[in-house]
Amino acid sequence: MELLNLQPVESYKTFLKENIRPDGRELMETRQTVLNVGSISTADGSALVKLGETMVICGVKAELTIPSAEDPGKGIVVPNMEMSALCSSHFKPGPPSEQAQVITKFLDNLLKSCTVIDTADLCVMKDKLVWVLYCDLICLNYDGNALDASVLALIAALQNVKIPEVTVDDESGLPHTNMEVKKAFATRGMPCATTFTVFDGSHIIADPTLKEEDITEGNITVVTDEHDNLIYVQRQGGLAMPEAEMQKCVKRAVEHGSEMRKLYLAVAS
Amino acid sequence: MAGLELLSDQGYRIDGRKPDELRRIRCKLGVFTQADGSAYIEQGNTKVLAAIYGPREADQNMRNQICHDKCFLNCEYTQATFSTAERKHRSRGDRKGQDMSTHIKQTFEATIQTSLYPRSQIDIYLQVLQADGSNYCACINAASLALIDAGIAMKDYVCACSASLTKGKPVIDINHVEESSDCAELSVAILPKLGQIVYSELNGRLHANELPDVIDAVVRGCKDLFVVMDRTVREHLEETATTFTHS
Amino acid sequence: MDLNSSLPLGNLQCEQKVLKNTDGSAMYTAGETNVLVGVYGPADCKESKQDVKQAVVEVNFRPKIGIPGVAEKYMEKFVCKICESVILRSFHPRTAFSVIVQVMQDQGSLLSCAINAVSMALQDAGISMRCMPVAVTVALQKKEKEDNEMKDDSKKFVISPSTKDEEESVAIATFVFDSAQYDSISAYACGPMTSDEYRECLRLAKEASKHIVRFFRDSVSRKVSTDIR
Repeated sequence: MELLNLQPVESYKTFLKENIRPDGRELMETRQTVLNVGSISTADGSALVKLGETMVICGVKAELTIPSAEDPGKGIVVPNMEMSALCSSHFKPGPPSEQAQVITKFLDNLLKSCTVIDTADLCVMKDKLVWVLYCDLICLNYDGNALDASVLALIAALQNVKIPEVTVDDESGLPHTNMEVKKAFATRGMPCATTFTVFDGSHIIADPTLKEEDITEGNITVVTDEHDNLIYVQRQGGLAMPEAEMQKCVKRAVEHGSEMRKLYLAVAS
Repeated sequence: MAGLELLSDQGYRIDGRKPDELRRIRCKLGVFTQADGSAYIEQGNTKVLAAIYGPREADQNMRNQICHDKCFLNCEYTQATFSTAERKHRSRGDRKGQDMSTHIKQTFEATIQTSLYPRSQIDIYLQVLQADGSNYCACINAASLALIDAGIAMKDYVCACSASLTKGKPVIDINHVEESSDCAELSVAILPKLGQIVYSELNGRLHANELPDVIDAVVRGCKDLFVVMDRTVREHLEETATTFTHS
Repeated sequence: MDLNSSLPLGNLQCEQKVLKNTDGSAMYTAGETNVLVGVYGPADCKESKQDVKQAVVEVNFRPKIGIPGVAEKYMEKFVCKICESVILRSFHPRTAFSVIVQVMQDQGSLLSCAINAVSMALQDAGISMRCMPVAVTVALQKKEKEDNEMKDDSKKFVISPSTKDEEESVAIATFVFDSAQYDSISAYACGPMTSDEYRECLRLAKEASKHIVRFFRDSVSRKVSTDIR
């Protein structure tokens, strides 16, 4: 293990010769994933994800607000990822790190494109009152691949959301929230992300740990939905890669997605 | 708050506890792999995570804080935006959080044997996941456990507990409802084995004659907490020891 | 000579050396989208950011109005990763390349336009690169028909979509290829599509990228010929 710290690249190569990784996984194997929902009672929906040692918690708070003039009949969903100095010594205290911002934008793009939540469902009264869902994600322990964990946490937390019933008084036009009656709203689709990274330009490995992220280049994230469609493909940097390799990743992502969907279903029931 | 009785005639509090009863405590050491020491504590519905990094070489950005004869502490308290009933708009850097960070820092400056780690820094990060009163106390207890997990030399455990006074009776380990009523709130951190008080803060009005009673109650609360914390540490150590002997 | 008529890519224009004080610069127009890029480097770098083995790349993305936000950070990271993979960074250890991308006008396909502009600016600066990155955006449109039986026929791929096309499409994909082998360097695809549709997008983008490389070559040769004169 000391060798892994001193000569990470060299020792990693010796592992790869045997087609195994230092933590005993095969190249395309992902880490064990645990999903837990509803543990935060102050949030309207919450989920905790453990992807190996990476831990991400997501809490959703619903608030009533006036809709924007452009979309008067649509609610708003605001994801925000936080990777503070708490989760790893890689991060310094202060404003959000670049990585956290990139993940925030990724989640935002994902929610917009995959219609997990139809924002029209969040409308209480057109032009007057809509729900805004603040989805705050906190990375608690960072051991690589925060992206997959955060997607899982976000979607599971959204599925877990229960918002109180709102009735608008006809005469006064004032909203009245009934905290007694809380209903879940329908989430559509269960997207699931799978991240790969490339070691030494030739070996593709799935679900990298922090140490693996440090010595590899370029990452590929494939998000699939329950119809095995691709919802989001993101490939950043790395060397040029032939198409066949990419197809391998897509295939693995589809497989992994269907495994993860079992987790969504297990916590939903 | 009219109509809300904090202590019933039968002597029970809103959540069914007796005046000198703590909320259920659950704690765990070594919850994270990245941090040098970490702990999680649940006191009733207040849930806090603590992570310790250090002692390590002082960050260049903190150059002005480096001491030649001891280490300095960097403490950061954050409360998740979803931790309270009303959503907080900022999790970091608000006035209350900064105050809290300073208080926690002062408490541990009095406890950690800082002179053993010259020219270094120790970071204490606290994350409140769910807040239901006595946040300061939960943070101190969590940080104390995390520091023990990190193996940092301290004079003693630090245990903190809060108390209030209703109907002339001191009640300890107060929750959010009791905290937001207009009673006085006393938070105390003690070193249980040395029998010293390292921190105390009183918010609200309390008659001087009643103070000794409240302090007595709160110190007893701290000592009860200490028993639980000590047991957790010992259990954790035994567990670690068995993994060592077996491998 | 009108090159553009033969391309399915709309109006393409590129002018290099537009900023005098930078080491390399390019103004790139694709359709109605217009991006200006300035490159500095290899230059001195703060000690804390230095890498002993290779140069570091910093990308700064400036929106047309307002201050950069999360969306810009995302683009920065994307462009930065591409630069890191194409520039031969080990030639210039302990230095930094700084790339500033200023959006002048955004009428769709911003990401691909920005990457092409960066590519031309890096070329203008004479920085040694493994290859030049070439980016193409493809949008997939599906018409909602009354009878769902005709689903296959209602599919339409739009290369270099405008803002209006983007709004009407279900999925948008941007691919980045290397100018030598036409292998993909980076990809960004958003919106539901099947594996086959993704492959079709990729194929179309690859075709289009060849046109763009030809355009790159033409505009560089034009620049060089005016320099000689």
